[in-house]
Amino acid sequence: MGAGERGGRGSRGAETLFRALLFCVLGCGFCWGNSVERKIYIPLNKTAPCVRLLNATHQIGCQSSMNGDTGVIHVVEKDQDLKWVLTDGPHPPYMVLLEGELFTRELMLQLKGSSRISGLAVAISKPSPAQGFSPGLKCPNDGFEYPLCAMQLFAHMHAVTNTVTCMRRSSLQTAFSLNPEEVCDALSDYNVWSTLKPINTSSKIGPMDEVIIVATRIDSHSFFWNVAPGAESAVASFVTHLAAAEALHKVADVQMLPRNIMFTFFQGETFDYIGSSRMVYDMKMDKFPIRLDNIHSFLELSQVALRNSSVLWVHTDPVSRRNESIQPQVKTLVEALINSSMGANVTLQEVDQSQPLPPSSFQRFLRAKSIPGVVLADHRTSFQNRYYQSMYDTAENILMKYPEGLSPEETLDYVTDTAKSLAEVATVVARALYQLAGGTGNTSAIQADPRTSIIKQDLKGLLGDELPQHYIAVTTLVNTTQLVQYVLANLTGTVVNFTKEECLNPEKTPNPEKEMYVYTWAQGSRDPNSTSRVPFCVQSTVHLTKAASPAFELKQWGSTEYSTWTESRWKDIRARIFLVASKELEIITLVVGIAILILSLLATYFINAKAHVLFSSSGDGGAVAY
Amino acid sequence: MTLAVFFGCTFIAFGPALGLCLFTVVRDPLRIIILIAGAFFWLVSLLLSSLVWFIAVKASDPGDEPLQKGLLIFGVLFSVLLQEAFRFLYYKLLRKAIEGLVALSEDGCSPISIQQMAYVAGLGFGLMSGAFSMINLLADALGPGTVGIHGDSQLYFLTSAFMTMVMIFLHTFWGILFFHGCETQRWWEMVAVIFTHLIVSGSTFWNPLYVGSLVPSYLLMFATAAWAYVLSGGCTRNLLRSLQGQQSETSPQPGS
Repeated sequence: MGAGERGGRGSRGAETLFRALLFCVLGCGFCWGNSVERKIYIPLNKTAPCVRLLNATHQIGCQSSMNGDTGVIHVVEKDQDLKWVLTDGPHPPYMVLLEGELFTRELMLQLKGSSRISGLAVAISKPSPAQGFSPGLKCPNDGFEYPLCAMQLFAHMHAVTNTVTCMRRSSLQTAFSLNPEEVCDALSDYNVWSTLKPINTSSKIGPMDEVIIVATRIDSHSFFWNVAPGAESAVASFVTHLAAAEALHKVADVQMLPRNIMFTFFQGETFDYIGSSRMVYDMKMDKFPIRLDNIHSFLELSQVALRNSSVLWVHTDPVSRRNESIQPQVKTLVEALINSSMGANVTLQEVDQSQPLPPSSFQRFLRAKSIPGVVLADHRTSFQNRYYQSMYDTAENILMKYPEGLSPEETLDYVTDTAKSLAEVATVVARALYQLAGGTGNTSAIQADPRTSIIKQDLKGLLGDELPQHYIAVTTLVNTTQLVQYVLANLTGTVVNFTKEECLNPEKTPNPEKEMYVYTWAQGSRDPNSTSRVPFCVQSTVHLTKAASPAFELKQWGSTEYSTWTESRWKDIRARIFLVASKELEIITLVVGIAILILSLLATYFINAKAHVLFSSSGDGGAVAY
Repeated sequence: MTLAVFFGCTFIAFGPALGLCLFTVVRDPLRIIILIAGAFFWLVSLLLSSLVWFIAVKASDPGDEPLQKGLLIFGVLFSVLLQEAFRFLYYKLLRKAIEGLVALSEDGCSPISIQQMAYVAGLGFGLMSGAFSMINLLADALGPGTVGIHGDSQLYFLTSAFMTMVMIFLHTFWGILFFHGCETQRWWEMVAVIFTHLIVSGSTFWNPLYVGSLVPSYLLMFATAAWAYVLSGGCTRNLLRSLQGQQSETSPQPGS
């Protein structure tokens, strides 16, 4: 055997070894977690953290330490349990586990400032079931003796103090660092708007053209990040708005109406009216096809789902009504609404004229120019909504009840009472708008379809297993905005016979009208008999405009004029539970370890020193034994 | 379980080995080389045996519990045999090395004897085995939690540390025994090493009944220690003399 042959065999062997190693490494990459880690920790999957939001002057929300906060779990079911946590318990710090009902301001104030508490977790009692972990099952000893159950929460936020500070730091990072680490992001998204008669968005409309703006908000908020069901505060309103838009588009002579109607869905209204303030700013700066002077009147739908004995209250602005030209226009507006409510199961009543407006997007427009307008709401003075901007503002809050035993497909078709009530409001709104826009026909034919409103509410269920949330967030085009955009296009647009290429690239086809419309390619619904879908092209007037506060455009981060809300960035948000051992056991382990170390060092030294004595009998003969 | 447990377990598992290394290996460069090469040989044996087990596991149904347990037992068996095979290979390598050292030396004597090599090789095997047993546990011991939420024993870290300590000692003594058996053609010594290794590894299947694994392992460790001591030229008389602080009867020179 020559050396070359041996070498060849050796390298082949090395290659297979290398391949085997690679296979091992790749294989191991697919296993989760270390098996010891799995013995110790149970990660909590369905959690919603509380994050930090900042504005021009303050910060709100929650923060944890860099490496998480650990505490012994203590379930607080009644107020007496708090005493254990705050004074009596022998193993601080504690992680308080609260039932949803107890999560109130009074309780939080009691816990504030205590050094015996390292964190708080709220278990949402309804509607979703408990997260699947029950401390009683896994945690031994009832929480009195070691080992005790503990929880660790990681939610370290990078931004501090206020928006001015965090934006300044972010801009320094972006300007000077090769690997910028930004610390916060402005809350921004898109507004959805559509006009009844198509307009050319690349130029402004004529100064004599008049537009009636109908507005609703589409977002909400709660204490916990991305938990914002907003059923009464946002969803019911925009669903009603969509139904009214659909009803109006069905009327035959809408293209001939003297005035146009603009259906606007504002995003970010919860945070100091991001969407509406941006639209007003764009209108003032001439960046929007419609100017403030073109606005004839304004109709806003505030919370409308919880009408008490079918009364809908009409709110107007007392300040602008002092203006002599505005006052009669407001009266016309209110009369049109009251006329439209004849025959429908809606009673419109005006609130006291000296009462100011409830929180609404209309106020942003009034700041810029006095415009006649009304805000429709289901409350006269204080809100009917007991869960305004809370995680409990869900379908149950607006009394959406399905009879027992319906399958999910059947619930899609079932018309709830809530849907019917919203459809009535939509009918009234649609008829009033028709009148205001100068329509002269019979309005009794305009009817909003209650099925529209239910389909909206249930389409959301199709978006995923969980309820969709309506938080504006910092990533653009959240689900809600897209949903509103596509549903509006579906309801108010027409199907045109374009191919996919023409639909997606309308500027390529020679079509004089293409500047007025937006084309959307829909994949179509699934045929129940087959698995393929029939796609089509929808022509509509639905547009998106940026909803980011002008404060960030103008770089006025401390602005008091515009919204300055930002959301902090973070690296890692998670929670896990595990057992903790007593301090005594830990100290014993350490002491035993040190003792063994010292003992073995001494013993080895001794043996080494006496080696010639210990190993001296050379019964074997020959070489040195030791 | 925090720093206290981390350091406690590290000292328990690696304290004696640290002492041995510090006083007997670190001063002599040859011994360091033999230590590290021994560790490497053990590592390769582990790699090959774990490869075999990994392939067997991936090729089988992961839901079948008895099968997986059976595969694990087979894996342990195969690993023990492969480790001893590598010990034999290392012995062969060191034998060749001695010839080289003799050729290079000035006085025709190797600067290190095969018995010393046996001890250092065994220690190298033990250290690498201990490292692989203990390091990932120590990494998790640093976190705030302890084992137990799924029902395992709380003493997991402590008993693992003691088991690691005993394995390091056992590997050292097995090294001495095995090389002695190879040198003097006493095959039964090698068989005894393999046999005790199988018993100790098999006894770990008694866990979490830690009495079933730790007690036999420690007993076997003392037995092997005594045997290795005798083979290295010790006897009870020397032991007593060293304890009384006397010099040996013969002057401290290599025996003839």
